[in-house]
Amino acid sequence: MRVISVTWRCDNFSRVMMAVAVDISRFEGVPMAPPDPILGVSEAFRADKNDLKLNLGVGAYRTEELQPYVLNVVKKAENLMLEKGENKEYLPIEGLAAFNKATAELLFGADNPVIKQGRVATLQSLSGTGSLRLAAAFIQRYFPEAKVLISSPTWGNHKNIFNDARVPWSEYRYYDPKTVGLDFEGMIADIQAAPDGSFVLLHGCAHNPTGIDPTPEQWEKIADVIQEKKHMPFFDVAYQGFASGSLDEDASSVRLFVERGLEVFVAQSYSKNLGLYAERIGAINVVCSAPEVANRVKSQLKRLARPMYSNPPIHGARIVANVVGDPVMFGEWKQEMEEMAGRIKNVRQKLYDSLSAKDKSGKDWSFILRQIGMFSYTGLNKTQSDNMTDKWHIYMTKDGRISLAGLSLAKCEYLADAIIDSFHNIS
Amino acid sequence: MGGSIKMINESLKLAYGEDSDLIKDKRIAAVQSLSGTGACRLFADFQRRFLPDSQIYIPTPTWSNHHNIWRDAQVPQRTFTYYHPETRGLDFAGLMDDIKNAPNGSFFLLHACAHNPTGVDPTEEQWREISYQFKVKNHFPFFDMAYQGFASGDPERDAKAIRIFLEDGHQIGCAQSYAKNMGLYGQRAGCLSIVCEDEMQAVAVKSQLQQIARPMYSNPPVHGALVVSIILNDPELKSLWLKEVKGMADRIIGMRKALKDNLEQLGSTLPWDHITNQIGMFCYSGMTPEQVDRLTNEYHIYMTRNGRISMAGVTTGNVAYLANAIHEVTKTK
Repeated sequence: MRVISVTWRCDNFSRVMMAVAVDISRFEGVPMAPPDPILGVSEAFRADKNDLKLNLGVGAYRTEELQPYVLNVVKKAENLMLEKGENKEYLPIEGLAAFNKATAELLFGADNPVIKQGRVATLQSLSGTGSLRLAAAFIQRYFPEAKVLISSPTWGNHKNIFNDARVPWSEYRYYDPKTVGLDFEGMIADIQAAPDGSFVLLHGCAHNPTGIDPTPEQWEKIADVIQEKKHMPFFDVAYQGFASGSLDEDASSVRLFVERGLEVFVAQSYSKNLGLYAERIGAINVVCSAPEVANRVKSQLKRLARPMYSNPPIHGARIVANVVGDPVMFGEWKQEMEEMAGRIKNVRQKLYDSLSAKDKSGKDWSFILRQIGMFSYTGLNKTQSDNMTDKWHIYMTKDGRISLAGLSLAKCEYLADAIIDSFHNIS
Repeated sequence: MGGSIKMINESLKLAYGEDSDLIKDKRIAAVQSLSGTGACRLFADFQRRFLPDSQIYIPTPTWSNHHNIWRDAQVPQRTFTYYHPETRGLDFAGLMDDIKNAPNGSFFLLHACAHNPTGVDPTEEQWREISYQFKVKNHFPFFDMAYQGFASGDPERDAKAIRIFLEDGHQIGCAQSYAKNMGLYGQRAGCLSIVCEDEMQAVAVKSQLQQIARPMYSNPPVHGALVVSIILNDPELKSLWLKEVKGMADRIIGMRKALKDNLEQLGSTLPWDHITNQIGMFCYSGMTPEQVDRLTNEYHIYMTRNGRISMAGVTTGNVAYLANAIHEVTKTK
């Protein structure tokens, strides 16, 4: 029991001291939260004073000089916005109309029947995370019996999102450590075994953390089993344009499902492909069977967003709308995106070459070339990953994931040495 | 995940005072939030997770989204008496009764200044009594401060209620918004702070707030926060802001006076003192929904059916028209 003294003025005549007994702090039971496994890596990296340190943790693109990169087309759009001097009034709950139109067209293709028929409910939301959370909240409210199937492994925050939204989840097999590739049969079997009407969370392209994507043929088979089980496909598209360098190609998995006439959830993010990380710009799209369904779904997504943040932030939305809406800027964007994806491809090649040259064990490192996107699943386990950090000052997540976006050509040989050491000398 | 440190530090100074010991002693857990809504939601989710037996007392009436926020966070809500329709002022006796009758250790949502939607704020003396009673009952005060600077024109004055509570040793929670006072509406810039026992606890509470934010939006949007932090960290810009926010508040205060004067000049026999007694963006006019409907249908004047007028929409160009319309629908023949 803590006792504290309270003084107050009483009728302007005297000050009276009163002792009031209060309980122990209300927050006594609040423990220190563990550092975020991904974002915590960057924090640890910043604290490291060693010159050789390398941050391969968070999936944020870096230039060859390992600096953050603001796209030129973004700077151009921002200058334009400043000149225009538009106001800062609230957006509607569903976000900037020009952005919503642009983002849906980018994802599905402007000529896609679902767009022309008005069957897509699109809400601007807080990047990928915010889009996923809105969808999860919607699932909890309107599909309370359903569960979500997520890949094993998947982006760490997926589980947090469904946990906090109180949506039950289970995993489907995905990564095969033996081949450092896709466990396709396991994946199909697990999706098949799930109760009808489950939600299946799929990475549209550039799977995070493995970098392993299904082939087009495999996507067809995945769509077959999802259709057969009346599951709901739920795409997380965080890397459109960033994986192959082509916006259309990276959207082909989503478009395949839509073409089959399925109702689909798609979460989008512009954090990586437009480098707008901190602006928090993305969208949740729900392809519905009819326009009036889409209107109802949209209205309920709005009801979920309002008590979360009322309306989404304008800045990032305006940037995207300006870039996508102007043919010249859109062309410039595509160019810069190809360069970013190209740099990553070059770095993959160099890393593979370095590993193959230095590793005398005959281990096949070609999986690095087959993986796609920002990340590579190296196959290193937690202890080996710790060695990467403790001995080599290379920061990565403990699941063996390295972010190639944080790797320069200049550092490839050093990284290869570290990987070879960790793989062969540590168990 | 906690957002811009600079923006947070400046926000705390605004709310708690430049020389606050709580800031010096690092006892405040604070994170950048998605404006006022996001700050309230983070707190509501925190309540649910760490104080699962708690509920929230919300004033009647309040901003409607308050109800949505605590409901979606699954924190049970109760209401407490606030507005007195007969006087269009504060039902202070009813308010104090509800504070006394609530179980010890209840959580209360208080509007720090410029109550939304009524514009009715307690006086300084009333705030002192409320604070005293809160101490007796060990209630938790959560302040929603969406209009600091915007109410009286002076941010220090508008934070008076909070300062009174802090003087009395309360450990408060506070949601701050820069939507109105910096006009950053669509940028979603705000701050949530919670006063803790000590630095260690503040670090723990902050880490848990970040844990709640991570699966909602990962980290808060940077742009608005940058604008806020640049303005507040630069003495010249801050001084310019203080002038501009006073300008905005003064315009509204001027419009309140003009509306009341116009109504009196038109010969209205009804009492209109509440127009100038109330403070902030809104005026709770006391008009009925039917009267409001007439305003809309006959005079093309749009407002919420609870009779709330957003004074921000009143100008020297339209105040006479507005006064005339109000007079027409309220006068007794």
